[in-house]
Amino acid sequence: METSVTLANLEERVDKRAPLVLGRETLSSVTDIVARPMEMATPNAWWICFLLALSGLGILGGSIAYLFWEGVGVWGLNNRVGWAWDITNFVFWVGIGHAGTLISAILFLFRQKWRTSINRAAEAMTIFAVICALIFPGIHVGRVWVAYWLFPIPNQMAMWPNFRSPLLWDVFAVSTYFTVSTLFWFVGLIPDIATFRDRSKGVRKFVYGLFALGWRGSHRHWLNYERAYLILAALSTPLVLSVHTIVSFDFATSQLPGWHATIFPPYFVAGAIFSGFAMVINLMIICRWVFKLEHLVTMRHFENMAKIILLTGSIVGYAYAMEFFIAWYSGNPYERYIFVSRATGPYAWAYWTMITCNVVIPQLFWVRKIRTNLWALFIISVFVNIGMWFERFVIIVTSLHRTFLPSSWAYFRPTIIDISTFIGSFGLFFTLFLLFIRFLPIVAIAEVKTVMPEADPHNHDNKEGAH
Amino acid sequence: MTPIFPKWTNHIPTVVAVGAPVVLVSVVLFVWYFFSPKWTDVGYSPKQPVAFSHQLHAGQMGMDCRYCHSTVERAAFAAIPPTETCMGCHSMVQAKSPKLQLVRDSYKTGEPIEWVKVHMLPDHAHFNHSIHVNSGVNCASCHGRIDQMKVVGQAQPLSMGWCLECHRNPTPNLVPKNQVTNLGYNPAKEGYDPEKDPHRLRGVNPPQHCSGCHY
Amino acid sequence: MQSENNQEKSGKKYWRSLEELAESPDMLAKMKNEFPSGAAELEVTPGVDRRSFLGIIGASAAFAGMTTTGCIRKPREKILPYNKRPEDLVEGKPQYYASVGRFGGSVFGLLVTSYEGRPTKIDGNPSHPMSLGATNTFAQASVLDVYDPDRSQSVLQNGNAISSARMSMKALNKSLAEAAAKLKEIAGTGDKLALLIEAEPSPTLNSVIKNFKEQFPGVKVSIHDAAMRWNEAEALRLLGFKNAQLLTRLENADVIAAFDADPLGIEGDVVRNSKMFATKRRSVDENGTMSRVYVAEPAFTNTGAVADHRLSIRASAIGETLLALAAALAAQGVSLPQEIVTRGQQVVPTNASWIKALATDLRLNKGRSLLLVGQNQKAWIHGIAFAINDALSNVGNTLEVRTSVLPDAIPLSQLASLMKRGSIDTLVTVDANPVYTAPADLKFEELIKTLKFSLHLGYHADETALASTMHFPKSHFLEQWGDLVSTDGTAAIVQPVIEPLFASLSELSFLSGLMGVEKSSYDLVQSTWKSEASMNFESSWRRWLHDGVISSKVGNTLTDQPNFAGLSQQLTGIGASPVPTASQMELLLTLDRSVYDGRYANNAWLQEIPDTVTKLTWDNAVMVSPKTAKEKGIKTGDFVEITIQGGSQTKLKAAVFVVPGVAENTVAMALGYGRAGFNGRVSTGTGFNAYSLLTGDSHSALGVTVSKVPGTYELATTQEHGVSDYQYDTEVGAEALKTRGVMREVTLATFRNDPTLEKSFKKFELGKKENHRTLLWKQPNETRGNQWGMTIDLNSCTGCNACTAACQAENNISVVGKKRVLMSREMHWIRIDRYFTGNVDNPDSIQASFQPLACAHCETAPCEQVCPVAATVHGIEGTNDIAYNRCIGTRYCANNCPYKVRRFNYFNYSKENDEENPLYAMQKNPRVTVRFRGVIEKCSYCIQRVNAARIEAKVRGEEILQDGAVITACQQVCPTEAITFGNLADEVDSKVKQLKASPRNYAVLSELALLPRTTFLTKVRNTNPELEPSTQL
Repeated sequence: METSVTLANLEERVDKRAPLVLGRETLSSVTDIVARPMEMATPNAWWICFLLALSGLGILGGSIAYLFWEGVGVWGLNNRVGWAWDITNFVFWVGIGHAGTLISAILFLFRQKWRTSINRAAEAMTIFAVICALIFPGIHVGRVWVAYWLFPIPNQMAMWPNFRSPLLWDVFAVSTYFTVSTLFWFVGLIPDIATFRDRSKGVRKFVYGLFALGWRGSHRHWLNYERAYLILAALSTPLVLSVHTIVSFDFATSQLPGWHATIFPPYFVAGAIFSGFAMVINLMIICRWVFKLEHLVTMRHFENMAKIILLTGSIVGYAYAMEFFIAWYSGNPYERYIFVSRATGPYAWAYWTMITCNVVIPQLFWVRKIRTNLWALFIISVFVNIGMWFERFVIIVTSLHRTFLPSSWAYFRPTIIDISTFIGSFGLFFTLFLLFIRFLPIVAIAEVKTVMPEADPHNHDNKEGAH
Repeated sequence: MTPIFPKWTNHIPTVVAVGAPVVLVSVVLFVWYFFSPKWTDVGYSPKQPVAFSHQLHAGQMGMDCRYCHSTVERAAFAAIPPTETCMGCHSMVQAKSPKLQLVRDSYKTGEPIEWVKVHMLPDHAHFNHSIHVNSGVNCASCHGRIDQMKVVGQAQPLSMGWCLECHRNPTPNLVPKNQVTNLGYNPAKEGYDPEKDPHRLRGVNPPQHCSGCHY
Repeated sequence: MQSENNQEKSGKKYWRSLEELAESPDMLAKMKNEFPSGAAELEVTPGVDRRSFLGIIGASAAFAGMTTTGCIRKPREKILPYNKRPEDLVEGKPQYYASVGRFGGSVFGLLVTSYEGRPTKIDGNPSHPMSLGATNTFAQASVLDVYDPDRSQSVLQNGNAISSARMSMKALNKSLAEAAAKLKEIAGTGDKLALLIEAEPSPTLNSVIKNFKEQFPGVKVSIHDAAMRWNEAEALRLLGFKNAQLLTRLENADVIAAFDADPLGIEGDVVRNSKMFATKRRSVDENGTMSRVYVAEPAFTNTGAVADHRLSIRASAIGETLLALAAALAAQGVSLPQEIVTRGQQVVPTNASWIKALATDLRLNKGRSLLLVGQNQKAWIHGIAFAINDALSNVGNTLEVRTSVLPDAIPLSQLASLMKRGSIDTLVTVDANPVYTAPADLKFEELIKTLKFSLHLGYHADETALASTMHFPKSHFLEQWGDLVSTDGTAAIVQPVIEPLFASLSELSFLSGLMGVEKSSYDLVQSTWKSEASMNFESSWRRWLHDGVISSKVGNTLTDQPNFAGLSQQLTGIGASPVPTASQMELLLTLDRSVYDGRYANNAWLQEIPDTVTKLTWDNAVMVSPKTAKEKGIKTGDFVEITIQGGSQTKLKAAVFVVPGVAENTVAMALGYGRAGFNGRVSTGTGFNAYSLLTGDSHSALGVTVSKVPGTYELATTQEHGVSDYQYDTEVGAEALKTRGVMREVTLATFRNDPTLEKSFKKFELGKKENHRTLLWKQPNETRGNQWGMTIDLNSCTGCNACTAACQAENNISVVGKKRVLMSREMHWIRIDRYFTGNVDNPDSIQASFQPLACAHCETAPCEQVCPVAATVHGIEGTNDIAYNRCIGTRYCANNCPYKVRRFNYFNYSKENDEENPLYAMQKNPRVTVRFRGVIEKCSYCIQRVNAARIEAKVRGEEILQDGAVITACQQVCPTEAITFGNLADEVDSKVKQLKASPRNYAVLSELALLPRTTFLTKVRNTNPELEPSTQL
């Protein structure tokens, strides 16, 4: 008789790997568990959440419409601080995105079996986060109607974009990232969609049928599928690193004190994974609780993620320290000043929020009791996301508000539109995510089954032996 | 188990694989041409309040462009002649013609004639006639054979790319200073070489940087 | 050792404002207030658009409405050619007219630029001795007044327009005739009639007034001089010079001592003074004698800012200080009138050492020194100053007494008392606005309302207009004929450039109209000058109009000996003035550097121009020194109530602005704001009416109580944006500046010891070009063709803002309004950074330094690298260009610009401006694209002028432009010639090339290897070794 379902797989014996699926689930019961939320009658709770999310989306739409109508001036920006919440939000969302691809691609290549039950949701999160991210560079420009000039399209002006500008690299990097991760996600979905095609009827059957691309689970299908999946994983692995590296170039290649730092690429990637995993934890804890996935998404999964957060969090903390050291070591007065003023200047409050949330709090994960406590996990992850938003805010705004000439030092204050746009982006994110959990399997059924005892060829013999 | 999709749907992938590129390319080509000034602007010849025929005046009678567009050598703007210029002749010639009623009225009342602008550059592009004329760019290079137009129309796209073509390689459009208003003059046929032209005090090096035209 | 010493001197701590020193504790409070009122917009009122206006003017639509809107389908555009083209007009080519104007008590020649009949820019007339090609902010901005939508457009009867319809010239003349009849009937022989005019030195006006006197023999003529020169005039009268005025000759002055005087700011012939002053500062390079400036003043002025030694001293102590100086001079053997000396010996000066040093300097520079006293000081003080100048034999060298052209008249106060007594019942006011500008205790509004009949001619339907029985609209000086005479006697014709936009009258036609004669001002002016014509009148008249100067001078220099008897009598009973205390403070009212006496209150450019010292826009404020503020527990933004003791218990509630350099226990306030009686769309809601505190003839009052009252007020400054928003960390701020060496300054002694200045600034010179051979990107070839560059001489800059105004006029720069200045979104392409140096607790040690900053056109411009659409790129001639219509507005370039000189159109400012003030569109320069919402803009080196010049040269067949062929707007206007622009690749050395070779030449932030094309010339202070320590901290 199993005592505690949740803790049962935290210990790992040398001779026997800890199980990743608990509660004696069978191949078919796994399918049922994942299918339940999609096949049950839409619960009111979902509707309530969905309406909330929709209204958030409405706020986003409204804010953007107003922004387009009036001009970028509806934000709190000024001639000294040309970027603030817009780019902060962009980097924040792109960062969130990273965990998904990391889990699905890199962990896949490293044969981390525990990824299977969380990668689907994580990938979905990635895609939705990137969609949110893509909005901001799009709307932050002064003349949206000519934003397409960012793309190298032949035109009567005989003009190309400036390929020296990191902003242009951004456009390519993020759009590539979006395309590949969507493709990756979809390919992974095919077998499961097929399952639901066969389980459902009517319109649903037709629609799932469309996306199942005629999957019949034949041996040849599986062969191609695995190969395609492997290739895409290999493709998206470098992207995980490249995207945020390039995003960091927006700052690193500039010459502003506080931006112009070679440490940015690794530091940004680490930060991205840091915040991404925090978001995954938040989402998975809720899904697990709502959809009773305790047997599939086990405490072991959470603990692993917590460990990654602890690692990346420490890397980020190290980066903060290193920035200060280099500023001092460089002897560059501007660098020195900007970092001192970060910690003591008008934006000190933002800086210390960042430090607390990103460096101090995650250290609690050294304690197993905490990293295996759902409440603690949830709350700390929320802090991490707050902290990571502030990290971008600190980097962007504090560096801009006191640059080289003290005559042009200014202060940035957000307007109500700044805030509503940011809140709205969450509306968009959750709208998409809610639709996802309603209509698509939040756990990769096919993949989970591969890590179950039944998938092990010798599993049957053991059973025999037991008789 | 009955299949959801009929058999023919198996061909969809092939069709898409073949069709998509074709559609894509054609869309690009469509936009490329039909969205460009080559299509949108060239040939724009609005009806003018007075049916003034350049073909008659500049062509048959061989009046020099500068007789009416007198500021072309001095100013950025080749001014439309004031009514009094028209009346200079038409107080005697065709003095009664109903076609010229508007001109006579304008002369009497002092109300300007509302000509419709044909060659429209965006306001942020500062074109200067005097420098082009003085560099020996033939009127026809931009305006086409005005002397053959009953109703004036736009002959060239006047797009930035088109401007740059000439600014990068002006020589083919250069004519002797005294041939600038000779719309029929063909430097290639005449074998004209600006380098050897003694009347040229300086080499022609048109600006290609932004602030040459945009400021 | 020496070098360290230099380091110490040169690298002195700068701090930009008190907020860097004072801990303003409301930081946290403000910090919590995260979401203040959102984006601020000017109210948008539907207006007429630019095109239709050009239609009215009859210009071709080709020049209409230039915006950077990119639209796919082009609209159907019309071309409206002239019906009969005016002779010598070429469409699209500007025309220039010589004229003359009166700005803030100075008259100087102008050169007006006009496109298709629209005046678009005013510049100085190089051939006019008082202008020499330069102008000031007022002149620059006055072109906008022509298009002031609030200018008076119809006759008012008891404050109401006589008809709602747009007034025709015919209707106007009709009601003028009626007024004339009524005047004849009421005034009769004019025994109870008074004529109130502004101090306008115009011969024709004088002759008209003469006729007026003939018609109304009893008429009393009164002059209200906005420049407050009555004290000076009175002093000269005391000394026996009747109807005289002073002409300063700074070009001869090696030592200048200004006592509460601002000859380089807003007092007297500022433009000429600045020009001449600058020659004596530039001479530092030729090892010539550099002038030394001593200033003793109650609040910072431009002169005080450039002073080598500045004494922060209350206005009421100027007199005794001068007496003490006289005594000190006498002690050194200078012979002065005995009475003055004895008085001086009685005074116990607080700054003996300073006075002694000054006295010595003055004595050593006999005939080459100049002592000036502010207009705000009493007559006897002017008298003493003159006596000293006389004793130093400066009179005739650095100072001249000249006859004034103004008619003899009674002062305003006398007029008021006559009105009170009822011996005046009819008043004709020309151009003046006494109801607003007269001292509060005269109660002029009530007086004017008691009159039987009062007429007013004014440019606005202002306070006086509304109080008078009838008001007539006055035409702008660009719309009328006239003539003006400068202080030095140079006469010039006021020439109209445009037909009056609205039915309006000149002073001349108004007055002659009142006499029942309908004479055009043209005829009147001509008849005045008929006699002056040498041979045939027509030709000389044409010559005068062309040159903008009339060959023969008016008036003459008075050389007779001054008689000090009258002055000595005045001195009896003069003692030390009471020292103000925190409870009994001293009030100082000054003319404003932006709106003068209030006449420019409705000029958006001037309202938004940051004040030289406070950097304050759209408001005036109660200025107090940090020390006083600390004692009284008030800080910037607080409200205080100022109460004048004694007779009239006048009160005023106004906001505080803490600024160094104000004398202790003194509150200083600028006049001209808070015009409640006149609601212009620009002036409304700006500042506080300081006139309500103005009593008597003097602009300073003693025994004023200042008490803090609840409430705060937001003051919009362009530096320390929203300082009240956060605490400034003094040490870091100062350290940052000390280590950054953005502003470089040395004493003359240091410069002479270290002529290359290498020792002084070694640590900042990491970025010298030769140290940066390995640059990432290929550089433009700077050795061929025209390679543009600029130098700005910090040594001669007086921070007068003229460049900012000129740039705004030339480049169609939008006005953004106070709320957006508060959000630090002002658009000025060239700004003047102001840095304070010294120790705030020792007011005498405080100095201000100015640094005009615009785009520096870096050869390795950081902005160019980051623009994703290549909208800002490098031109072949080394300029950093923007193609506005290519800009998509990512603001990346602005972020990456180390000088922060890029400006973003956060809203559609140009459109808003036009809708707010429909006529403003007519001022736009057709050669410069009007920017649309969402694009970046910045200084272009006046590329439109460069292109125009290049095209002209090419048409002539030349490639290289001669030095001086291109003059940027800021360079053209600069009264101190601090800005030099030209070709760096010139074979024959261009001026700018020479200046770049000067040891004083340096690049701001040179260590970034930006290789900026605009560099600066180190500021040199000619400090007196005897006083060195007190000013160097």
